[in-house]
Amino acid sequence: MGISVHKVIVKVLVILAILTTAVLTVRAVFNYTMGRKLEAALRDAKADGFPLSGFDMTPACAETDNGASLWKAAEALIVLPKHQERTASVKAIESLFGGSPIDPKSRKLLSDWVAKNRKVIELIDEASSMVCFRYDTPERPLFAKAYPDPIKLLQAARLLAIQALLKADETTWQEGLAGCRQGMRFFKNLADADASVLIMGLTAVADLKMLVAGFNRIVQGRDMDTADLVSLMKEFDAGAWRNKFARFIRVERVFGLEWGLARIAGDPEVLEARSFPGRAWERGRDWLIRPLLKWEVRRNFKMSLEIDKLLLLPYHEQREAYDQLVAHRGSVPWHIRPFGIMSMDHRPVFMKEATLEAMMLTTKAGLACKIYRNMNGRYPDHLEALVPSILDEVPLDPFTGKPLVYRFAGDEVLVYSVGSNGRDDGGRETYQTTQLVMEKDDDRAWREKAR
Amino acid sequence: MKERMDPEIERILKTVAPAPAPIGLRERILRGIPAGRRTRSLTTPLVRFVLIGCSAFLVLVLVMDALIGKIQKDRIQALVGYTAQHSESLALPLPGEEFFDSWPERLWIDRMSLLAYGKAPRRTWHDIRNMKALREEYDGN
Repeated sequence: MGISVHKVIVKVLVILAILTTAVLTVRAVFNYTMGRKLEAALRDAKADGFPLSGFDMTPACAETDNGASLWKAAEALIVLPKHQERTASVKAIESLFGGSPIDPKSRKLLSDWVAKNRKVIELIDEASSMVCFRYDTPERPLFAKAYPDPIKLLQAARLLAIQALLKADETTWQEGLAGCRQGMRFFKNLADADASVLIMGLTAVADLKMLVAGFNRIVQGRDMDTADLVSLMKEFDAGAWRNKFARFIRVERVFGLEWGLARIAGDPEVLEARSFPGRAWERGRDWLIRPLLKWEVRRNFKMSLEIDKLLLLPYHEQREAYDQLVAHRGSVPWHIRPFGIMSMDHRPVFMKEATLEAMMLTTKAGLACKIYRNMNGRYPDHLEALVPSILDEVPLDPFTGKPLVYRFAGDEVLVYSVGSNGRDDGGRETYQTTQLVMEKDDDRAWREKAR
Repeated sequence: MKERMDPEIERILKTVAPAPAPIGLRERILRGIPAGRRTRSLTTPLVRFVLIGCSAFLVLVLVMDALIGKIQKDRIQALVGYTAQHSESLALPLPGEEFFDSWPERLWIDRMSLLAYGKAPRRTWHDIRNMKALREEYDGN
């Protein structure tokens, strides 16, 4: 009996030794081949001119031209709203999108909040005219860089929009609009920052949407000079913004690459700085799955190079091309997922960016309609009437590729995009976008009384 | 020849008294048999060859893997211009956990949906839970 047990143990040990050797040999071969493929992919990308490090994407920026220095001061000074102010500010933003007035009690709370942050607003105004925005030292990899606090950016945008509305009501609309324009410039400039990763891009989109909504509230229904309107139209170049926004996705690609390579390298100093992987067994696991990590990094990187070709397409083409690309490439196989292998889904990003573009285009078309009315004493019968004297071309809805919807409804004139569902919801819009394709009321409209 | 010798041999053999077996020899031999069997079965030449071969090959594979991995890593780092940061520079203010904790839930969920087609790694779960707590605070962002 004792002899047979020992025999079994020895046999098991021998089999284990053979299996371990086989597995580790296969791992080593896979590690080598994946490393070669990753290296080749990076070499090809470099030859094609794609930047491979955050350092390559960091703008040259003299300290005297650096808007980030002023923003850092604003970050330190900003007073975030207290509970009551926060509730009031949320309601105010909702009213911006919903078109309802701000009640007097909320107005008082918001005025106080704006007053506390007067210096912050001044700093942002000043930063918006700076030529560059470099938040951290260029040598540091993107994943280890310091970033502007997105909460404070969002609160700053809210502050600027509210301040603009209050000024427009209490002093002059010109002052209100000036605040909105400065804010829009500031947030657009984030695209050129050293830290313009995707989360910053999404923050900038949210901030700009707030400011565009505030801008619309001030402009709609107000008589304005043609020269002023022409000047204001320049702020709403959706194509230029799409170009800028593409940079966020490109920087994110480099972020993912740097992060992936650091994880592959298993450099404990770098990884521990982000508390990942913190424990020894996690490091051991990372060593074991290193070939898979290389596979992941290469796959994501190559995918992002394919996506690069879609960045400047209008959303309706972008969405289709992206779906085809994903279908062609396939999602992460099920047997890889337990290792925490991830892949990016760009669809929500493209959709959010397209929503902002739609807002910019409708605002621009709305301003053009106001110019037409100044020139002809009435609103145009259709958007084609604005071309070529006021607009170069009829603005196309990013969600459909067709001209924006333009119509009169009761005593209102509306210009709107049909939004993600591609369906005409009569210009009704929603404040929060929570799905890739909203079921209803996700039009993006510019409207005013047709007097 | 055999037939001629047989009677003589028989006669001589009859004069020889057989020596008695040493006391305990039989027991000692019988006792040693299982141990011998066991030793023989554990260390057959084939097993020894497999174990030594596997060990040597494994060491070779691991050493080669480490060496090639290092070479590849250096080449990739040279290609991307990335160099690992030292702890001194990383000790500067970095966006730590609290940075991510302060993100509004919607942004984080966006981030999750951006990053994960499939299953989010377990380590991110606590971030999502924290975000839920922050939802009330930053509702509407």
